[in-house]
Amino acid sequence: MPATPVMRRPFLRGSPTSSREYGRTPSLLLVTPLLLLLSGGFLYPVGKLFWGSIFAPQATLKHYLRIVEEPLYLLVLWRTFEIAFIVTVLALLLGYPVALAMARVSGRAATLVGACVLIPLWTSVLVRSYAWIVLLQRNGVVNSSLLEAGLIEAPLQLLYTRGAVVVAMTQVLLPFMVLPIYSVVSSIPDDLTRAARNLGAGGLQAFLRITLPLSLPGVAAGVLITFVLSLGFYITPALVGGPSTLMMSTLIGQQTTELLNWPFAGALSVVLLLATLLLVVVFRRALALNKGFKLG
Amino acid sequence: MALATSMNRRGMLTLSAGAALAVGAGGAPEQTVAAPLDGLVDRARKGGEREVVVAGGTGAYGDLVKKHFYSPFTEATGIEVVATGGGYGEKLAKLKAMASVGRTEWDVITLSIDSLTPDVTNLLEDLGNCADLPDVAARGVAGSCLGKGVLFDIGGGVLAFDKRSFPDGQPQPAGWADFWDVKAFPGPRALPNVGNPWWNLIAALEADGVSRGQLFPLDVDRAFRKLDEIKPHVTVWWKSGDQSQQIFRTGEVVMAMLFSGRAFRLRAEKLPLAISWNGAPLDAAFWAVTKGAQHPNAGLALLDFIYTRPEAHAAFALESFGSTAQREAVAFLPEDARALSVLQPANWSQIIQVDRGWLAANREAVLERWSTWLAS
Amino acid sequence: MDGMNVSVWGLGKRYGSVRAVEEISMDVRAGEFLSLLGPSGSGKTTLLMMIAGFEMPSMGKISIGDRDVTYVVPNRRNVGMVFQRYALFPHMTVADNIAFPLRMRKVPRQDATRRVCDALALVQLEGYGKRLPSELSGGQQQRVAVARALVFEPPVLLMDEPLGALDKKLREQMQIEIKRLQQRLGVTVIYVTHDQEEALTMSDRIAVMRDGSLEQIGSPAELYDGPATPFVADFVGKTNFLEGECRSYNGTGLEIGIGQSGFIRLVQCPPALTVLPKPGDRVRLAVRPEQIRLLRPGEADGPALEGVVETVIFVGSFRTFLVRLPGGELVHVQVHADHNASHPGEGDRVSLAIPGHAVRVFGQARC
Repeated sequence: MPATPVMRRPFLRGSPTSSREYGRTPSLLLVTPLLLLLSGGFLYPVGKLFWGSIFAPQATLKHYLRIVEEPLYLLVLWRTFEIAFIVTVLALLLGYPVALAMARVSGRAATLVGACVLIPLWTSVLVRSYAWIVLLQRNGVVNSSLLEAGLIEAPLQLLYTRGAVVVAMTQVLLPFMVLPIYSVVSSIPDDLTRAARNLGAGGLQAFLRITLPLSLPGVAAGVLITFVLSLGFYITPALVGGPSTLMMSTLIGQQTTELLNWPFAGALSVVLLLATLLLVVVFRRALALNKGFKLG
Repeated sequence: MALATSMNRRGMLTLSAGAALAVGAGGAPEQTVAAPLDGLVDRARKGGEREVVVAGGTGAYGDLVKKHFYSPFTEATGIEVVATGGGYGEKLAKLKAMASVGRTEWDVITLSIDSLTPDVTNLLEDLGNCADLPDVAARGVAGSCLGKGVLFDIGGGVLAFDKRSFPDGQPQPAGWADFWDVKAFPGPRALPNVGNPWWNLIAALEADGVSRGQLFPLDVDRAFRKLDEIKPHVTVWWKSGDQSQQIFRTGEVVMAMLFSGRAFRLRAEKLPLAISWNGAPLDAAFWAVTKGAQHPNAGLALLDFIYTRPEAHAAFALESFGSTAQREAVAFLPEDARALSVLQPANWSQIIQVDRGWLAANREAVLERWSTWLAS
Repeated sequence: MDGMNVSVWGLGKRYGSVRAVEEISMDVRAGEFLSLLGPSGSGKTTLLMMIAGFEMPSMGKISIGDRDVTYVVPNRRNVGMVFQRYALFPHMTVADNIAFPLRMRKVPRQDATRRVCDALALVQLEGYGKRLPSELSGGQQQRVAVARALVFEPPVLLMDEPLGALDKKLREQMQIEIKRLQQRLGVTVIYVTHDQEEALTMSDRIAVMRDGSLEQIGSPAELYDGPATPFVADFVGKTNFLEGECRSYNGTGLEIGIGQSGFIRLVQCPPALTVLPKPGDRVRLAVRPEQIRLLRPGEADGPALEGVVETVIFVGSFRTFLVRLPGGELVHVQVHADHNASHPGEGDRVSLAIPGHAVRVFGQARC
């Protein structure tokens, strides 16, 4: 039914129809290159890391015990999730209205908003992170504006703080939140909100009862993508963060490039991967309880 | 990645390029190939050693070494130098691999002094007190002979501060106690976070009043307690040499512990940066002959040869912003570069050597505790 | 529930320099079923959207009952609306969809449940309350949309081509159901459609729109028998158009020559004309196919047009003959099927008798 295209989002349904339309063999052929890439570029190295972390060369759990026993590693793991969570929430709060606006406007305004979202995405993460350094450093744009405005008397420490990491990561990851929400919101027929208005709902009510619940699949996708990307973020925290914002990926990077302790780096990666997977599963379970998702 | 190159520290010394050739003050020692070297070269020739394979530095640094040392060596002795190289960690891993299969292809290797731990020294030829390499003892800085190798690049973690914050004529920080004194010397500070936290521990203990002779074994608990005091004032824990320069360019900090080479580079950029060697932890690289080398005598000849050429060391220092352990080289430096040179006895004597035995035993634990302390 | 009248005065809508709706004035009487009929782009949906409150008029006024609603937000207009694609909320059950307007009006839960049941019964969907819209057929979804639009007993119901997505048979069935429902409830209905048959079947009155203006408003019979313009004549029902020239006018009658094909004599003053044509004027005639009598050659007792049957189309209860006149015009003639009578076949020469009262004469100005 054209009236319900929203509920047919592929990322919510476990039963794609392509095998019915194309037959199994062509379908398999289509995904083969990706499968090869995935197994060669992901499964094999991850498997090897995992293997290396428990057989070095005899079976041992010492690397995992170290993670549990040394306070540093659980602290960093916890902090990684904490920062990822804050970034995701911020990106959602900032990104949702943008996605909504993108879906609403048309013509030149739509091009403009779209460009504002996409151009940062096409810019290197490195460049964007350095841009934040320029803005936030002690004699940077933000501090000098505040000083000139007389709002502060001495420069604030903005760079190499948790705030800097959160702000920069939010900005870098915002498109990954906006685009999935936009794609879902723009597929909600205008008639649905009109119908709600016509039936007596004010603007806010219509949003809360119709647009918001129907956009949840996009929100779920955006939240998941942003959160998972945040967990593994490397460049931005390394550039604009300090030791107090040490995240798992930086720690893993240290183990591999500086300390050359691959088994332990493997153990850290496995723990991060498992924690991420666990969270994704829990998240999807929680969403499945919402009946808007069950219908798929 | 900038982080990957962060461990690449070398010597340090700088001047403007124009001043570089203002050498030639009289009284420089005669440049001759000394008799002991002739003996080494003879032995090499008799053993049929026509070449020496050196795993040294790469890139621009490697080119400078080639120009000032390898080529003159070949010219003087007829022994070809086959240059190969890589990062310290990489070379170490390869050397271990080659030793384990019993075929060491490298004759000479250059490594960071921090890697002189028992597992590594076992792979290197014992030089004793360098009796076979008389030029090292005679013409190098005190302690140039390391037993398993000879010093080459030398520098350290200097205390650098911005003179715009602490101008001449007013009190200026002169040691780690002043670095810790945030009342007398206010402003944001930076310390390194590049995998050698013992530098910070040394600075902390110095600041806490431990005398130089009593530093090792390091009182780690006391050092971390002292670090707790300065932590709120350290706004940058720099992760790479480039970053350590950048924070001074942008005025992010007023004071920091810097690799001396980075500090000299900043001075070359005309940044008003002052440098103190007082209590600077030693940062050095050494050259060694490998155990099982194919051309051991050629390798020894090279090690001795490099100590016979002070003017080459001076030129090398100016061009690489580094410094080397040939102490006669200071005389070939331009006037204004001599005072800050690490080769000045007054500076060299203030440098703190890391107790490598202690480091080998405590490296892992200190690294782990450092990461935890920093992250919390 | 009682219907309310809906009035618009000088209502217009412009998008920049484009005039979507010209200044339109009309009165929809309480309890009336009025269709807005026109081709796509004629402004009928824009007019409806302005009445619903989704489009802000550029000029003019709208009132429902005695209340001026021109600047009232859509949710306070208290009009029901059925959308083209039903616009059922896909994440709510049928019952929740229907209860939505009641919930918005804070109707007590028990009362609301009862009214939802009543509404489901009204559209013959008892027992479907727990289903989701996607689990219903198109016709069922359509009924849910009607139930949802009526459950809060609005005095006015707006429908925007509500049957457009259904197949022909279901559409005809729904037309009758909606009409009955409207008569039973007495609600005023404004019904947008581009399907003239649907408009003729359901409406008390039809407003024909073209290019943003109101072309004619009247009962189906008035529109069918007395189209004010060739456009209406063409759009409502089937019509033969013939080009002609006035030959004589003697105060009571008019003779119009149809080129080489003959002539037609009109006894009365043609009703569609405000200015009487003079001899020599070119005019346009409109004749309904079923008004033409098909005779054998020479059988006519007055002036007639001669022609040859080209095609005979059998359409159940009647037949359509396509007759080629000597001037080249093709005339549709519709005759009730009488299986006993003998009809002319293809290639037969025939004579067409056109009674003067069945002819509409239009000037050339808007042809």
